[in-house]
Parts: sequence; structure tokens; C-alpha cells
Amino acid sequence: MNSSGPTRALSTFQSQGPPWMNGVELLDDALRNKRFLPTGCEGLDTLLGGGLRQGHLTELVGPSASGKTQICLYVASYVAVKHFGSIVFFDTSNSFSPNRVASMINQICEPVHKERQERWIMKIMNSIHCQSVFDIFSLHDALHELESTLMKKTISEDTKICMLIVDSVSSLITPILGSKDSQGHSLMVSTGYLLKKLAHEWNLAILVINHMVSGERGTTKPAMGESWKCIPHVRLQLSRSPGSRICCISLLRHTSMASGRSAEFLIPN
Amino acid sequence: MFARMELERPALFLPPLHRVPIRAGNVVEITGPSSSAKSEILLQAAVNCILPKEWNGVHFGGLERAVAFIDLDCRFDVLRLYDVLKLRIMSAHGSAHGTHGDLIEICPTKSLMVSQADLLDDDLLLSCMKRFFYIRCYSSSEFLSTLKTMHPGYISSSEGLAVKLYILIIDSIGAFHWNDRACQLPTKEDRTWKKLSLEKLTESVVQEINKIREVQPLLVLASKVTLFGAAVPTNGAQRFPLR
Repeated sequence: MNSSGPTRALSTFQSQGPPWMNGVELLDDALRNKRFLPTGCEGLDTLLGGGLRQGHLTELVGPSASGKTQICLYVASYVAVKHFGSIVFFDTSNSFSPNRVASMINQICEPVHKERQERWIMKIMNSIHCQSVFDIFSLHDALHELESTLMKKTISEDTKICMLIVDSVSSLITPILGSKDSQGHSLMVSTGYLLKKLAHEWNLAILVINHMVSGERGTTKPAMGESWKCIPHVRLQLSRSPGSRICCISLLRHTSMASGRSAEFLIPN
Repeated sequence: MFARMELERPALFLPPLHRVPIRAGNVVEITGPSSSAKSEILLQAAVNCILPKEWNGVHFGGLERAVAFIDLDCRFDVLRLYDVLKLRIMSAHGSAHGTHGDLIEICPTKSLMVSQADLLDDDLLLSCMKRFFYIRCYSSSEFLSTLKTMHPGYISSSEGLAVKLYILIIDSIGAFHWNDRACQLPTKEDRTWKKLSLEKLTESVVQEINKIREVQPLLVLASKVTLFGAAVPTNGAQRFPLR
């Protein structure tokens, strides 16, 4: 540069603080490390432009019994069968069912040899790690533990964790959200940032579940309020008419796509 | 005076050739409810800043200057920036060849047609992307330390070069509002440790930004989400004094 003054001062600052990335490096990281992980539900994959993106925090919100947990289990099974990597599942309401997962795995891939089938299913299910968390603090602990596991770097490529599912984050947060108390809101926001940091630094596709609450004039709206709206990268709303297996997913918010688009797909058994 | 505006036609945002007179040295806050295209406006401004004025005979009208993007929301998508850049380049080509250069509908990356890809010059894209600098902060203290390292008005690129700044974009200010309100540093002895309250933090942020502006006249663009109901953050300490 033209003067030595700024460069001298700069050298003292260079060792401190995180470095700035330029656009080329960012693009390189995005194209190389932040892949789209297909979910196995065609309509959903088309809506998302390929699947759940690594580095993104995706929220799935819907009324009760609309198939949110079902979709989570199916996505976990699909990603495990296709060997994209390991999946970590944080379960807050004992909704994780190994039997269901096993039957979904059976459905996704063709059975080869019946004798080896059971062993093969066990091997695939080994890549899905389920952990129960019943309050927000244990969620934070579990996330920190996950971070230290990821930092160990002793994991090989195909067992590397690529997805984190939290079913459901709203059941942990809504009890602590008081209207005037900022502690609850700050816990919610810090959980959101912790998740986004994990997603970005370790290339995880994070899927969180939210439920609906009653809003004004009898309508329903997603829980966790206005402050939560700015946190996820992608927000998806799920709806299903009772008795039907077809569910409709619409895009509430996306970082690079116009919202309002929707897709329909058959909910997997 | 504190200039606060909600821009409705972000594609025309070209400082200083815009309807609203914005020049270097101004601090602009773009505020609105969630999902009101604030980040999109910041993105368009960044693209218009990193584009050159002219390239290979095509007029882009950009500023050809470096942009520093501080991402406090941590939702920035570089592929979106790249798409906006490519669309802007193609629309400039379109108007140069006399076709209707209206607002092009924003389409996802995959639907970019192969024939249009010929118009995109790799060298141009590379030189533009090299002028874009990005950093993420996950807490107010990280934000403050980033601002402090920017003090001389330059930022250090990964190659070790000092890059002079022209636009500083902050997306979005007030992101750590809840965390800062609830969190208070433990005070062992009140003489030596100060409680970093929300007001003190925002004051420090304003101070650091003003320090940078003293050394280097730059345009500061910040987006802010307005939360309705009882949770509206107080604006008192966040007013940026405008010279």
C-alpha cells in the first residue's frame, strides 16, 4: 500500500480477532462444504432447491399431529441409508421410535439378503444417535458436548456428523418465555445462535421443530414469537388435512428464495 | 440528524445517484418488521458498491470499492449475493443491447440459462467478489472487538493486505438485544470491573463506529428489526449522531 502507517498498525491487529473472509473464499466454502442433503420427500426437496442445506438452520412448524416427527424420522432414515453421514437426534418428548425408523429404512432400500438384512439395518441405525433432552439447559449442555465431539477430528468421512435434528425446540423454550422477562428470550436467542454457529462451522444441516399456538382472532401462528422469526435460515410450515396422507409444505421464509411457494407430498408411512 | 428510511425500490439504490441523497460519512438505519427485505436492500447496496463503473465497454455504474459486511444475524447466504451480482451484470448487458431492462424477476441459481452464462465474465465476477469482505459475530463482545480491530479504517484481508473501506454494512444491529439485556458480567469488586449493561454496550458500539468514521469517511448501513408489542427496544442509546 502507499503508506506504511496503516500497515504497521494493522500488523499489531492482525494477530488479534478472527480474520475477514473475502467473497471468493466464502463462495468456495459454500460450494465445497455446504451441500444440499436430500430428504427423500420429493416435494420437499424441490421446494428447498435440493434438500436440507448444510450450514442452514431449518425450522419446520405445524399443528399437532401434522406429521412433523414422522418427517424428522424419515429424513434421518433417508440420510442414514444414503450414507451422507451420521445424524444426531435430540428428542424432547420421547417421540423417537426405533421400530418406526427400522421400518422406514426397510422401505427406503431394497432388501438384498434376508439373513443379512437385520445386521445391515442395525449398522445403518448405528449412524443415528438419539439423545433425550428435557430442558433448555440440558440442550445447551448437549450442544456444547456435540461441539467438543466435532472438535476431536478423529472421525472418518462417512461417520462424520452431517445433520442435527431437534424435536422439538419449542417445547423446551415456550415454558420459559414470559412476556416481560428477558431471561427466557435471551436463552432462546442464545440457543438459536449456538445452533447457527454449529451449523456454519461444522457444516451441519440443522432441522428444528416448532409447534403452533393460537394467535389473534382465532388464527394459529408459530410459537416462540417475533424474536424467533429472525433466527432460522429457512422456515417451513406444514399442514395436513385429517385422515389424509398428503401434506402441504409452504415456505415461510428463505434466505435466497421468495416465500409463499408450496409443495405437496405423500407423508411416508 | 438521524436518517432512517424504508426503501421500496432497492434496485435503484446507487449511492450517491439515488433519490435519497446519501453520501460517504452518512449513517443509515434501515428498519422494518421481520421479512421486509431489509437484508435484500443491504445485499443490493453491496453489489452496487463492488461492481466496477465500466467493464469491457458495458456500463455498470458501480463504485468499485470495498465493502465490509458484519453479519450479526448470521443468516447471510453468499450464493444469494453471487446470484444478485450475476443478475445485475446481465441486466446491465441487457440494457446495453437495447432490450427491456426492467426489474428482472429473482430466480434461483439453477434456472440460469446456459446462453446467458456466456455474458458472465469470470474475471469480472472474481474481481467483484474480491472486494466483498465478510465477518460473523456471535455476541456483542465479538462485535465490539471486530470494530476495535477496524479502528484505523482499514481491514486486513487474508492475504495480509490492508484494504481501505468505503461501505460498512451491519446486519442487523440489535441482534444481541435480548442477550445483552439479560446478561450482566459478574462483578467481583465494583471498583475494578464495570457492569456491561445494555446501554453501555450500545454506547461503546456507537463510539467505535464514530472512531472509524473520524479516520475514514465511510457509509454505514445498518438494518434493524422492529419487534412489536412490549418488547420494543429503546432507541435512546442507539441514535447515531450524524455529522
